[in-house]
Amino acid sequence: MMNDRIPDGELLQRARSGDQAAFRTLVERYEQVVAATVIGMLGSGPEAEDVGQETFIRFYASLNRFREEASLKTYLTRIAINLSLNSIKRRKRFLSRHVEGDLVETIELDSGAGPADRAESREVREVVRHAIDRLAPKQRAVVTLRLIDGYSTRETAEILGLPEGTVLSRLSRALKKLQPQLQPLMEA
Amino acid sequence: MMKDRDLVDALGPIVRDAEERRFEPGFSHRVMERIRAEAGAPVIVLSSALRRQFLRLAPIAAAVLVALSAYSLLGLGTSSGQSVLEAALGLEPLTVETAYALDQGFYTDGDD
Repeated sequence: MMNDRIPDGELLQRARSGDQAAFRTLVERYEQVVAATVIGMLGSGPEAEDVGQETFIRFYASLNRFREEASLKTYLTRIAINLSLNSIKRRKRFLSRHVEGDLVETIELDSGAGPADRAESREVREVVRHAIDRLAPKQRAVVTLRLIDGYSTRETAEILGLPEGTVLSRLSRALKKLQPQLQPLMEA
Repeated sequence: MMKDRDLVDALGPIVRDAEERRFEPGFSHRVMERIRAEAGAPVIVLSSALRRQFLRLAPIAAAVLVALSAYSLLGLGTSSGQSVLEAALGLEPLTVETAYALDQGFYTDGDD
């Protein structure tokens, strides 16, 4: 494995000149960042894995266009969020075409199910997933970036290409929807 | 009523810790495999094959176009008030008689 102390800029230079080991080191370095975003948006499962892979493939294809004005973390998060939003749109389109209305919500909620855990943590995960899945995709993106990834309002606005005021209003609406559903967990 | 900042502080850890957010082991390997596979994907081969075919066929198509235009120009000429372009495209001259003739043809084919 390539040295973890090599700066991103140097790895990028090497990757641009065709060094695949350098690119792989970047994937390993930022895999967790991308996973937090796509699993936050989509839940864990094959869809999130696919979007995660696609994020790095898009990044690889745009290596020469990445100007390092934004940090690599921000850049990758932006790709991951956009691909996740596309995936949510595709999922909704598929469900509305092929599944009866009453079943749509159930399937959407089940799609993020992972391997079996302890009953209690599984229950918590399902309650939280349920609450996040009920948010509009744009609100979900803000919640993922602010609450899960821990970005500031300014960083979230930069990633989504929105004014900070829009981020704050979307966050406010999302929190109002989440609060009643997550109230039991807040009191626990 | 809680303020948004307090709600972020209260809900943040719950949402953040609810599920493990990491890919299955071997993620970077799978990414590199896909990059290698897509680098040799048939899309690239197809695009270069199409380009080759286009470059081969384009001069022939252009020559055929010139020949047909010349044939039309020589055959019809521009004596009947046609422009060179109309003649090159082989368009019949449009007169009031031909316009009415088309109109009559339309109605005679109908229910009348």
